[in-house]
Amino acid sequence: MRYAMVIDLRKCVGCNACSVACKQENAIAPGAFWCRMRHYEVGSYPHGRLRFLPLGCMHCQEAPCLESCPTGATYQHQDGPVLVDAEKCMGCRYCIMACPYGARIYNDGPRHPYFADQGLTPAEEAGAVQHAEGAVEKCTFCAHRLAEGKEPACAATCPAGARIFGDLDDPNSEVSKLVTAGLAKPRLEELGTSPLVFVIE
Amino acid sequence: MEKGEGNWPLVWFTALSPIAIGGFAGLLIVQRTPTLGLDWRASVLLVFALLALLASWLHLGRPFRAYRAIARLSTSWLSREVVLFGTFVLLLAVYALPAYTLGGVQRRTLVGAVAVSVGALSLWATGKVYRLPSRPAWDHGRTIASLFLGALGAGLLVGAVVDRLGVASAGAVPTGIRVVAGTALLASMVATGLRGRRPDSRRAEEFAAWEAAVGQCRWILRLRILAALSALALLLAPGWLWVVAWMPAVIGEIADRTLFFRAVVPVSIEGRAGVLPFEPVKAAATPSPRLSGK
Repeated sequence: MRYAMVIDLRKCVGCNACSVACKQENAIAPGAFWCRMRHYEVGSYPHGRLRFLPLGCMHCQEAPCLESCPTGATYQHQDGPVLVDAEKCMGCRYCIMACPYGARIYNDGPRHPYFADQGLTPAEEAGAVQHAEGAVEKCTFCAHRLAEGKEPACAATCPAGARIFGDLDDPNSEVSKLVTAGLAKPRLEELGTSPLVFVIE
Repeated sequence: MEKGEGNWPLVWFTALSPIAIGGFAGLLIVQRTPTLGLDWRASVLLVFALLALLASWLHLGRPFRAYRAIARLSTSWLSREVVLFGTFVLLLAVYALPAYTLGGVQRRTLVGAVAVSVGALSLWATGKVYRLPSRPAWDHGRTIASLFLGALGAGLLVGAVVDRLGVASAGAVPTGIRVVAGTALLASMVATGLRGRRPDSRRAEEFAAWEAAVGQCRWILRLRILAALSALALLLAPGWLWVVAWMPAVIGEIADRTLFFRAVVPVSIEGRAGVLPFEPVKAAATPSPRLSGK
């Protein structure tokens, strides 16, 4: 089994629901994003339009971050997702430099509340303990949800159906069909990272 | 595109480690009278090396887990760099011990030679750490070359000056040091000057890195060239002036490392060779009229 995701840019409307769902599901700190959105203006007046590119970890099969990590904190799960063992991470941030997709972020200190005069909510406090200060973190394909047989929060939330998640090794899955048909392609393919996140443009 | 940050701990590490390694090599080459007791001159260079280690340690988000850094020697150049530079520092410390503890001067010289060899390998490993496809401006032979130029330029000068510490008259600079260090300083000046040249590559990231170097980082570029030029002039000057050449040389190395980390742009996920997957809107040639009608 290899979990993979296809993002259909023809359907993406840039609503950022995936970013919000990710932050909520994984209790990500203010200002930090595991899933972020790039916006582009395309064309020229009067035919200009906006295009959107959701970005996050590509869960590469030949992950540069895994190869570069000196402590072995970065590892690849047997089902495909590239994960970080926070216990082993020493925060050298070499993986951040090595990642061509800018997918990783560094947790540089105590979590600050969204509103200084209100402090952290109980939910935020509970979420903060899941993130190790001084370590690197990133999208996990919502590994905890996968363990329960659910899709990642971003895929489950997308109102446009732009995120398709499934087993790349299952020929009957929609993900597999899109990739096999050549419709869905990886980003920066020439770097040889073999991502498990594909894009339809 | 995002430009690199200062990253001061890594600037200090990548500036001081070549200086420590080159300095020790220079000391071994020019050392006139091998010391039988504690080699305090080597200890001076040990301080450089320990400062470099301290800087790299302070860079870590969780410094007390640094012992894990040697876990992936099979794949990670950073693991290899840690082991190699750590071994160099250890051998340098051993070299500084009194000769009788090592079994004599000859054995100490052997330790020194091994230390320099390991140090050279660690410079190679440091360069490989930064040869990343995700940073096109770094993924170039000059990344490794600049570290060796630092060792052969500023490093050798520091080593030659350390050898003269405590001596009443500095005397003339050894010819070999003048030739090698002078060539390295000249080469580093030329290399820095070439960084200011507009790249032919269509790679958007390399172009953006060049723009960062000649734009916001222009003063660092100029400081680097000026420092190397000053060091070279002092080195070639007659008399004792060469003794102070190490100062602008070290400043030049720090400037070079600062430029290295600041004028880098990550690879563009949007596309390669500056080509976006969709054609972006072009900026208007004339500003649009204000709403007030003025």
